[in-house]
Amino acid sequence: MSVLEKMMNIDRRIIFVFVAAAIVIPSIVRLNLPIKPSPMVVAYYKAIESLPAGSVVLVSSDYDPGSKAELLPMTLATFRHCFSRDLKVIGMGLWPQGIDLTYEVLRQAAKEYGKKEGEDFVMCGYKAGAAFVIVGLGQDLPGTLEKDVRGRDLKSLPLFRKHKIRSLRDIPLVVSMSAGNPGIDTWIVYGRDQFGFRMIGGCTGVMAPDFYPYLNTGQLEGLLGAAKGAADYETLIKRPGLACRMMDPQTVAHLVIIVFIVIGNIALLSSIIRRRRKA
Amino acid sequence: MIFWKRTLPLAIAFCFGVLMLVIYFVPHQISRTIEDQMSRWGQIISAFALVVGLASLLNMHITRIRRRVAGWGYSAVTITALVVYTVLGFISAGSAKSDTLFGWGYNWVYVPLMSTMFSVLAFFIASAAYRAFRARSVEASILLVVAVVVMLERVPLGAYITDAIPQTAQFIMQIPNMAARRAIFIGIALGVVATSLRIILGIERAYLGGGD
Repeated sequence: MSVLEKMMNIDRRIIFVFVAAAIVIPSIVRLNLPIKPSPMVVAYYKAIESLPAGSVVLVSSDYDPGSKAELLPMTLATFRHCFSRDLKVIGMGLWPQGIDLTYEVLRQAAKEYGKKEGEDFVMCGYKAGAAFVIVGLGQDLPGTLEKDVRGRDLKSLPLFRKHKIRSLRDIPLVVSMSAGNPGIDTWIVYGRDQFGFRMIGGCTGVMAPDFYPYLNTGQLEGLLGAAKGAADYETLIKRPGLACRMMDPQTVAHLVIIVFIVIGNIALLSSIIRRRRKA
Repeated sequence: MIFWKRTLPLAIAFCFGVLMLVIYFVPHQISRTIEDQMSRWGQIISAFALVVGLASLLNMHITRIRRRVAGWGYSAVTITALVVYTVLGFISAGSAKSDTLFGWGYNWVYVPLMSTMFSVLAFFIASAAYRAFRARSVEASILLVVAVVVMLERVPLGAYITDAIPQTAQFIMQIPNMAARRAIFIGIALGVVATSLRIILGIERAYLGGGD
């Protein structure tokens, strides 16, 4: 096999080794490249900043542990941002698998800012029905979610009593952390357009292009796309965390992939030139 | 039998389809009350759908095990996991706190398994990108350049090299990408409207299932 053929058909195991090294080494040896937030992340940040203290934000955890690496850091950063602005948080989910992860980071952020469960935040858990749940929340929020994850009646909690939360119309901002359907688009179609709340969201990298039309129309005010979006957001709230740390391995891994793509194309180009010369 | 299996479901689909369509556009208190009631029914039906899904899952995997279909061992693992987690859920009274058995299984088995599955993608995508992004034609060359620009924009290195990279990536996402997405969305929406009308009018009957 010639060098060109070898370059065009590199064994996938060699690529795997390089990708593994590209992830492990920068996790130990830091690059600390500066992070410049993108406009849609700034818009996400501004949407939360624009809320007056004491406003209620509903955060829907619409993902499973498979998307933990991308969505959990931005969920934690969102809770930190909300609590630092003295906003109240109602957590829930249209996916059953991600609730416990979200509840854990919700309590972590609450602990950091000295917030009380039931008064400053509540986790209502998973409710089956997707679009039906959103429509139900638009009619009767505490009646649809009924109880928090500790089994307490929502109507009896100070957060609901003090802020007189009856439906989605009483929630100024909804955040959907989405890894698929139901997710951001379900909230926009069945909730935002019907009940008039403002909407922002976070999503996995592969999903981000799907939401640009919603950003363009203003139906979605801001978007955190994948780990980079989360890192941008952590930079904006001045709480660099896991997402910022993930940027170094991700940078080197992307570079490695680009280098392999370049090698493949150089080999392809050389083989074309060689064939033409022979002909 | 035809009445129960075909005529009645078609009548229900027609009546409720028309009703939901009408109440969406009528902002009256009666409409809201009906919509509220419907959403509750929908949630209850969704909960029952989970039971139907579970029965279907069990039926499929038990059949695979009984017939010793290739890969039947995976079906056995699925059923074992289902039974074990159901028992753990009952023992833990449905709580997924980390100090319960169910929570332990969630934190130390389910979450790492799912994360591993997702992270393995990085390796396969790297290999696939190396093989797929070859400049064999004009279209493939455009795809190659766009992919490289977007990959650089998705990490801090892009903006570090030059601001033109994130700006170009934003242009790609906001103009050509959005135009294509909008076309797809409009196509999907028209398809959904057409299919919904076919279901409401009883033309589309696949949802009734096969057999008599």
